[in-house]
Amino acid sequence: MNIDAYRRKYAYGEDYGTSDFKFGPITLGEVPDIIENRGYMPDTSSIMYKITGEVKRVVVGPEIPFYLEAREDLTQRMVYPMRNGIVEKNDERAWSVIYEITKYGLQKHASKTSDFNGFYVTAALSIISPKYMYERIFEVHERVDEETGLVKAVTIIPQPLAVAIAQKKPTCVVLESGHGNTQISPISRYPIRRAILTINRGGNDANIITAEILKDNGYGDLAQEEKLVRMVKESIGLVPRDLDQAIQKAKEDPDRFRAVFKVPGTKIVIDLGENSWMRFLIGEYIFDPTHEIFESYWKRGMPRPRDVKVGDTIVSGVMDMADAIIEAVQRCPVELQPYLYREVLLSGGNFAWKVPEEMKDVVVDAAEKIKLMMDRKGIGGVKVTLTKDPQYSVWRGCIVYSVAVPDEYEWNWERMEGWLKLH
Amino acid sequence: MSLMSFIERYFRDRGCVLISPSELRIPEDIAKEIDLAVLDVKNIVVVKIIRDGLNRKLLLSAAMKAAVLREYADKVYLAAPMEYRLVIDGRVLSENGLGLLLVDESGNVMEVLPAKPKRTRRIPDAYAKAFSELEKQIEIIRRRFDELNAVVERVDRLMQEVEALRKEVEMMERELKEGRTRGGLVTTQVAREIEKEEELPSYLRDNPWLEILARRKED
Ligand SMILES: Nc1ncnc2c1ncn2[C@@H]1O[C@H](COP(=O)(O)OP(=O)(O)OP(=O)(O)O)[C@@H](O)[C@H]1O
Ligand SMILES: [Mg+2]
Repeated sequence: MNIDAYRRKYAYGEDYGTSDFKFGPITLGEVPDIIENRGYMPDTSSIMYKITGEVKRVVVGPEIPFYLEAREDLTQRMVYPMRNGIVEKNDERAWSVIYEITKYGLQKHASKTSDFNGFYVTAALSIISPKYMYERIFEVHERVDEETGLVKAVTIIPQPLAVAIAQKKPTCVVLESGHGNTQISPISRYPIRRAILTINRGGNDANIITAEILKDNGYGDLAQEEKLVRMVKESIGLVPRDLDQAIQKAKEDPDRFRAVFKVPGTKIVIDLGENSWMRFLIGEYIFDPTHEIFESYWKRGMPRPRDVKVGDTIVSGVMDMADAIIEAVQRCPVELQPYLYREVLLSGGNFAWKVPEEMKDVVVDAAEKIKLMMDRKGIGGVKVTLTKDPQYSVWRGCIVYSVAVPDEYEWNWERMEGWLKLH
Repeated sequence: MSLMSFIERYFRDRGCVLISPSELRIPEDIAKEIDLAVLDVKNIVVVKIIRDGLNRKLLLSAAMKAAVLREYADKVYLAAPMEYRLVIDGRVLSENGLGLLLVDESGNVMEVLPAKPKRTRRIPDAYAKAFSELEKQIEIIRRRFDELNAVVERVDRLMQEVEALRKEVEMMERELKEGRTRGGLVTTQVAREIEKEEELPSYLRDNPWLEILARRKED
C-alpha cells in the first residue's frame, strides 16, 4: 500500500474524550500527546493578566498551574466542557475551551519544515454526537486555520470506528465504556448507525456502588471523596466469573478474598473484613446489574442507572452487556451477524478490571466475562478482545484515517465522511 | 516520639517558650482542654490535640471547644495526625479563627491553616481601626506579591523557551547553508525517519483499513 508522502509526515489525530484530549501528528509514533480536557478562565484583574498583556480568556494544558490563584472561585473558573462525550449546544464557555485545546495541540506540533502546508486532521467524537457537534468542531478548525494556517483539511469520525481501525478489524462490534456510559457499535466498513446502542452505565456507576459499600462498612466520611472512591474501586473491585459462586466462596474463606486498601500518604486502611465478598458486586454491576442483590441497594436510595431514549427506542440503564450486544447485532443484516460475533472489541477505561493471580478460579477480566455471558445466552463461539492500550486506540485510528482517505474526497454531510478543505 | 513531643519541638524550633496551662490563670475546666501552651514573644498560643475519633461530629465538638479557648489566648491551634485531613472541614476552623497543624508519620508538622490572632480589647478603637486598615493593605500587598512570583516564574520559563528557539534557529541556518552548498534539499531528522517503511507505527502496518479507506470517494 502506497502511503502519500505528505500525509506520512503531516497526518494528525484528535480524540475528544470527556476526561482527556489525546492529540498529535503521526510522527509521535505509538503514543499521542495528552492534556486534560478542561480550561481555566483567569481573573482579568490579576497582575499576571495585566503584565503579560494577554488577551487569552481561556488557559489550557500545562500552563494552567501558573494561573491558579488558589481562590474559592476556582471551581467556577475551571471549565470541563464535556459530559459523556457531549458539549452542550449553546455552552459558549465550553466551546471556547474546545477551541483552545484544539489550537494548543496544533500549535505545539506545528512543523517548521519548508514543505509544511498544514495538517490533515481527523477528529474523533462520541458516536452519539449530534450534528451541531460536527458543525462546531469544523468551525473551530476553520477559525484555527484562519489564524495559523495549520489545518489543510479536517474530517470527523465516531470514536468506535477509530477503535476498529486501530485494531485492524473491518467487521466487528466495538464496546466503548468510559466514565459515563457504554456505546455498542456494530461496524462493517462503516458504523451501522441504526444498530448502535448506548447504555447509560459506565465507570461512574461502579463508583456509586463502591461508595455505598464503603458507607455500609463504616467509612461513610471517605465515601464523599470522589477521587478516593475511584481509587478504592480500581483497587478492590473485581469481576466474578459467577456472582453467586464468588460470594459463596468469599464467605467461606474471607481471608483469601480480603479486600484491603491503604489510602496513599495516610494511615487510613480500608478493610472490608467479613464483608469482602462485596468487592464482587462492584465489577458485576457494570456487566450485569439485573441480579436481585442490587434491588436492595436501589430500594435504599442508591441512584439507578437511568434509561436513555435514542430516537424512538428506550434503552434500559440496567440492561446486561450481553443482551446489549445481541440487541445491537440483531439490528444488523442476518448474513453479517455471525461475522460480527466473531470480533467483539472492548475499549475504554471501564473495561480495565484487574485479575489477581491467586483468584483466577473466581475472577475474570472483561473479555472473559462477556464471553461467559454470551455463552449463557446460548451464543457460543464469540471472540472477545480487550484492546491493549484502550486510551490510545482512538487516536491511532484517527492517524490511519488521516493517512488513507483520498485527498480529493470532499466532506459529504449525507455520508458524514470526506475532507473539509480549509486552504 | 509522641504527637505532643513533635508539636513541642515544632514550637521550640520557632523560638517559642513552653508554659504550663496553669500559668494562664484561666478556669480549670477550660484549662484541661489545653494540651500545650507556648509564649511566642508576647502572644499566648495554645494547642488542642485531636487524638481519636475519625468522624465529623467528634471533630466538630473538638473545634467548638477550641473556639472557647480563644477567649483566653491570642492564637488557638488544633493539631491532628495527617490522615485526619480528609475529614476536617477547613471552613469551620477558619471561620472560627482556629489554626490547624497536621503531623505526619515522621513527625513533620505542617501549618495547614494559620490561626487568626485575636485582637486584644485593650487597644483603643481609633488604633484598632487603623490596624485593621493596615491589615487589609498588607493582605492586598501579599496577594500582589504572590501574583508577581507567578509572573517571575513564567518569565523564567519564557526565557528558557527563547533560548531553545534561538538554538534551533541557528541550527536551521547552518543546515540551510550546508544544504545550499551541497545543492540538496533540507530534510529534518523526523521526516527522514518516517520515510523508512519499517519505521511505520504498528497500527499502520498490514492494516486492511488502509485499502478500504483509500477506496472511499464520491460517486
Ligand atoms: N483499572 C481499572 N479498573 C476499573 N476501572 C477503571 C480502571 N482504570 C480506569 N477505570 C475507569 O474508567 C473510567 C475512565 O475511562 P476512559 O478514560 O475511557 O473514559 P473518558 O475518556 O473519561 O470518558 P469517555 O470516553 O466516555 O468520553 C473511570 O471511571 C475509571 O475509574
Ligand atoms: Mg474516551
